[in-house]
Amino acid sequence: MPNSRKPKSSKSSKSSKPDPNPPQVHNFLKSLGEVLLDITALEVSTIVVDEITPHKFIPRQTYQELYPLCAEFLKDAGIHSSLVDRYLQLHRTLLLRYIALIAAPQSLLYNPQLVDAVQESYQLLGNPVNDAKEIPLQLPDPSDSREADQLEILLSTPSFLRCLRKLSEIKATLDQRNFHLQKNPDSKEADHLLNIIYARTVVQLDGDVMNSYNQKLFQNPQQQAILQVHQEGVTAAQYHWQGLLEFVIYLAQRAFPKKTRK
Amino acid sequence: MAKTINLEKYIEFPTLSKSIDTLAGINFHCDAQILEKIQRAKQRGDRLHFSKQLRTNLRCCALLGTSSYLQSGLSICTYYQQDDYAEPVMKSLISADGDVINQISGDCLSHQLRPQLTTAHYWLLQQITRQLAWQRTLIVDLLAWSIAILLILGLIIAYPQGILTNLIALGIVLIIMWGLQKILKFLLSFNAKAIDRWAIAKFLSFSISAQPWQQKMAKLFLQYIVV
Repeated sequence: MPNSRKPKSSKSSKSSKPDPNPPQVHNFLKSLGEVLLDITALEVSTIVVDEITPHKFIPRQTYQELYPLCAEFLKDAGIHSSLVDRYLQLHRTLLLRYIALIAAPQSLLYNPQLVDAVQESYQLLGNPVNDAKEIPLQLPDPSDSREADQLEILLSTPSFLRCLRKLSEIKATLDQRNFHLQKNPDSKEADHLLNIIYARTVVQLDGDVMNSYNQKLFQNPQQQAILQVHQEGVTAAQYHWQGLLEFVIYLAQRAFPKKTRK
Repeated sequence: MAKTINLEKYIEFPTLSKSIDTLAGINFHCDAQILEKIQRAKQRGDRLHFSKQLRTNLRCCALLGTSSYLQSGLSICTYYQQDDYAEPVMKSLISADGDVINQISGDCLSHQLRPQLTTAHYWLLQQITRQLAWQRTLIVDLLAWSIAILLILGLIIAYPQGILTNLIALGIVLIIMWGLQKILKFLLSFNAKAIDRWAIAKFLSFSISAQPWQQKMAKLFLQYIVV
């Protein structure tokens, strides 16, 4: 699952001349910089699913699906009890990402008046027993018009969008798992070997590699095949990631005025 | 030199919905024959052939999200075609911050062609990456031609009878136009970097704009201004 890394603060560029780029472009350039700062590691996960879902990422729609996830909502929706924590974790990850944006001085959502609330929220969210809906800071309500502006900014923040997109993929696999468990109420959760993140590899920029595996991998008769698919995926991702990075740097070099690049 | 293989008709770029023309991701359709082709290409070190259209679609897909939103990642799905039925077997979501989620269907995992399918999927992933960056923009050429054409049009409007009725005069005017754009190009080339930066900044602001016409302009930029 995507971790909720706090975006690292970047030194704001100081220039005596006015910025030659319009504000909108400036945001884009900032976001490119943010991507570069966010790249601390390559994380590759391999999931075996029942069914591959088509590409469909519409930010607002995904947000509306993740926003209401709370214990009560999941109970009403009839989510299998073994999956409730994992659904709650999705909402929690999104909330953490939002709070990190409120606390980051370079973010458009930065609000220094909420420093205390941020601290308290972090502490409360640190304990998984606490209900995410009970903490002082909450995600903007998509049905509340007073929070529409805040939500609009949030949904145009690249780091938040990336987080949202990854969570939507995880939610799709949880939904499938839930569907399967509901359809076969007699089957044990542990016996269901699909829709699981089996392996995850983190390659740090300094070259350190960390592998983690789901314990269900060792029950799965196809563990060798899964490991092979994962390993090939890691190799391909490293190659692809390098290319993507080069492209982002290429764009940044050409679009940043020299003065702000220093 | 490495050869290339053309798989363009098997690669499609679906849009998010009928009403939203943003590209949602890349779909790659393969069958047993194509899997074999890719195995051979991989062994020989052949590359995927990129037409201008394929490259443009790929760049639009990787850069332009739904209007006013940036693209947050690239999603690639491989379908396996068997007996008139195409089944999605693998999907990868690559996020620009370095997170990759690979999905494989349970059916594919136990399929006898599983090694070939994964090889094909990951091979495609590797092939498309290096095509994102462009070598240069054509913005200086475009500006030079536009200014030259405008000046000549002005001249024709000022002396319509003298130029349009005389073939020799028309020929001379066209030669002047060609020479003019060459001179303009030379003059503009002193400031090419700044013009390029202006064009890329404009492209970036259009690509995150909520205005549909600006989104269109961003697409046109990827289609015609970069090589």
